Amino acid sequence: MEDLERILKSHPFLAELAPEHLSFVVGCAKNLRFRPGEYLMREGDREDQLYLIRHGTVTIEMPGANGDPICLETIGSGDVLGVSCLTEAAAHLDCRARDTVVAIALDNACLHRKMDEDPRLGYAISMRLLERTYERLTRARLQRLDVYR
Amino acid sequence: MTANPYVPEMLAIDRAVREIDGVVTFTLTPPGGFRFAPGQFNMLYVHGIGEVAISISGDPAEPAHLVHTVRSVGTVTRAMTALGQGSVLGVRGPYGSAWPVDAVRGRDVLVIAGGLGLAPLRPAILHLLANRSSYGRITILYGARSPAELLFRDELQRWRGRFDCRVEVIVDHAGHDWYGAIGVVTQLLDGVAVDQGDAALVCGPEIMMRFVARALEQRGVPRDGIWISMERNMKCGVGLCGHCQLAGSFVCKDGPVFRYDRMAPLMQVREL
Amino acid sequence: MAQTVRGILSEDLLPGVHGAWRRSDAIVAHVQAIGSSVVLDRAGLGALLAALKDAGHELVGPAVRDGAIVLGPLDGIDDLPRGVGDEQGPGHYRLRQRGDDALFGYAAPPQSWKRELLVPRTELVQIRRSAGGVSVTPTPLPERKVAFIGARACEIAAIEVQDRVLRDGPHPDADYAARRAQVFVLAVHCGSPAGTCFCVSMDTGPRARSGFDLAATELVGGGEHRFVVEVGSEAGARVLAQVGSRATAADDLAAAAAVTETAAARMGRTMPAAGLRDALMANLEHPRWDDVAARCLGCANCTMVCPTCFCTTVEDTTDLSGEVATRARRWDSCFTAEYAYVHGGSVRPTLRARYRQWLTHKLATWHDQFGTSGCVGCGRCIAWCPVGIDLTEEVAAIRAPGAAPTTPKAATIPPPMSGGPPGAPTGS
Repeated sequence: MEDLERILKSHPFLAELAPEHLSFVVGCAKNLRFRPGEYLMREGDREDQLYLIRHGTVTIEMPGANGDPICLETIGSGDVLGVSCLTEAAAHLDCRARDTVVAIALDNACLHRKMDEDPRLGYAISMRLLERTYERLTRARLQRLDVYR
Repeated sequence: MTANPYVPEMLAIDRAVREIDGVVTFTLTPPGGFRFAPGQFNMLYVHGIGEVAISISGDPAEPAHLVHTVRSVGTVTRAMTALGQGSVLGVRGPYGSAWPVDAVRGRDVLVIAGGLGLAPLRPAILHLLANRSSYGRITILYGARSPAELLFRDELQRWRGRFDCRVEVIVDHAGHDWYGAIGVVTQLLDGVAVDQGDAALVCGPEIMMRFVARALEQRGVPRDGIWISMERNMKCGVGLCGHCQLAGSFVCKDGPVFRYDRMAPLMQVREL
Repeated sequence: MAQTVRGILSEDLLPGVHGAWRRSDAIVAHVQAIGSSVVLDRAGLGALLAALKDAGHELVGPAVRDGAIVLGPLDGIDDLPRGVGDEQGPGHYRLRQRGDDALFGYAAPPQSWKRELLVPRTELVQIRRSAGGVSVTPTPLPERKVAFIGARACEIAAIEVQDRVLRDGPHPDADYAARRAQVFVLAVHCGSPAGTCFCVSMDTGPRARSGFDLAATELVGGGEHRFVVEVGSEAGARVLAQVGSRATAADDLAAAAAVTETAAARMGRTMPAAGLRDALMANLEHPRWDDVAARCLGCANCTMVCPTCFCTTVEDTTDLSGEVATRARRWDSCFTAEYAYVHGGSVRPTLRARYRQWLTHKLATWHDQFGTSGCVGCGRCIAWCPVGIDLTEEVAAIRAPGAAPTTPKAATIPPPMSGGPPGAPTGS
């Protein structure tokens, strides 16, 4: 448990989170390992985990016209997956490990409960998710501009 | 009497190498060599067709060869990229300002390029690597449209193979044969250490440079630690013809390399 | 002050001494000190023009042509627009009979002396490709001594503005510099400003303070038709020494001063110059730019008639065989679509942006670039705008009191740092 707390603390998503919040959140966390090609999340699934990626590369994919998946983006160490975990939305993309991926999974229901119990923790986590969402949006906009054409 | 600044020196092309689709690197051998500072450009002339401003992409330590990398985007560059060995190009220059490779000695240097923007940065990279001990960490971040449009791919691999600099590449779109990162160049900043004392040399489309500068600022790099290279229409290259004006600056003689704190306010005004 | 001309004359200094002083012992020609003045009658002015011709100058000056005052080649004094004045307003220019014999009784004519120095089109170089290789033949620089007859103070100011841009930088325009070096300026101080004039606001006139070899004030109406001529250079003194003149009397000088004082009081327009740069740069998003863009036709007339607008482009052409390529420099305008073209499109696609570029360059960023305003207050852009756009009115609207700055706060634009030499790193 202490180990997991140390790992959580070292992930940029939770950097500078108050120590009492960290030990509170650690109860929702487990360390996971994905083999290359394994899905972290599938289109249509309810997002029941928030993944904090520690090592490896995750491809974010959508099925293409001929069935071949199109990779929209790769994310890696320090990124998070499942930024919409606070909403009721189902995943709209496939997320797959390209190589061996090590991630902390935070159980959504557990996280929700703790955020409700301690609104200050709720605020801290919400703000972090909002920042990540905004970052993702900015990247998507730049990518969409196709500036190197 | 004053020399006519519009008269090019006509030089035969020694080598024309197709880099990627629509992009050709020309090597010329000017008698007496050609000294320039990384970031400077020449006006290149195609017989009877016209002239365009092209950054020098060669090695500043090798003045015997004059190298430009040209992308076919308009009438003149289309004609130019069709030229081969033995054809003649007109050259006048070098003009404009340079990447501050001497001023940033001792600092960690981030070189951030997008698309063809790697070409004007190549002389600066070669200078940094040739004077490796004069700099702190050297990090090269490069974003391109797709794996097929990665410029200087062999050289990127060679630089990556050195043990004294870091090279990260990302593409906007890729198929399954690409095992590298997909996304935008600002994403690469997440994976590298960025410090407020870093010097960042940034070149690419104006929008990309703005996104990169903002991402650098968010990570603590002040505007006066960032340099960008601007592109505007140029006819004379020496501040006589007026075309490249950007508020009080002539991009040809005050630029093309500007410190970002000078350019950021201008970039806030549309169609300036 | 004056020494007799015989004292300094030598054959090589003055190969063609004009006959006037030799024929008449009654009128003695003197070499005048710079800053001093003499009086010429109309015949004396005619003799002065003849002397300039004899010294090898082509005379270029005003004549009536196509219902306008046009600057062009002159044979002599008889070509000057005698008794002709003008009336000018927004989109308006008419000649009128003055009812006197004034030879310089008009305001700024449609075209300025820019045509003579930054010529509308000039070949720069020929590049010939043949089996034997490539040969490059720069166009020989012009050898042409020209005397500008009747240049106004505002126009001399404009020439000095262009000198800074085209001649005084590290890469001078060779053609301009060559032409400029061979010009003799016979200025005529302005006594007849038009409704479009505001040289007083721009501090360029109506009296020329420098930049001339000789400067005349024409005195017409009330007494003898005469010219009080001030010496501005040794070249001016040498030419003046060849024509008969008389010494100035106190009332000549007083009358001459009154001419420009009266003119200064009759400016048709004003454009307060204090704080103008900052006011414009603080209003780059002012709604007035949309307003003026709705009227502007983008015809580029203002840039063509402006005596300081210096933008040029280079035309590349070949002969039919494709062997001989020519590069030519010709006037361009920031109002054209191609002007700011970077692959993919113009960086200023709208007329709003183009008008703003023209006006803010002229009145604001010119200071940053060259340390002066780019406007001399000649009013040509007002008269020759087909829809009568008046820059003084646009500026007044943008500077209307009480309005908050419109430039985005993050875009507050400081003057650029004084640039180092080309090639120097921009940062430190």
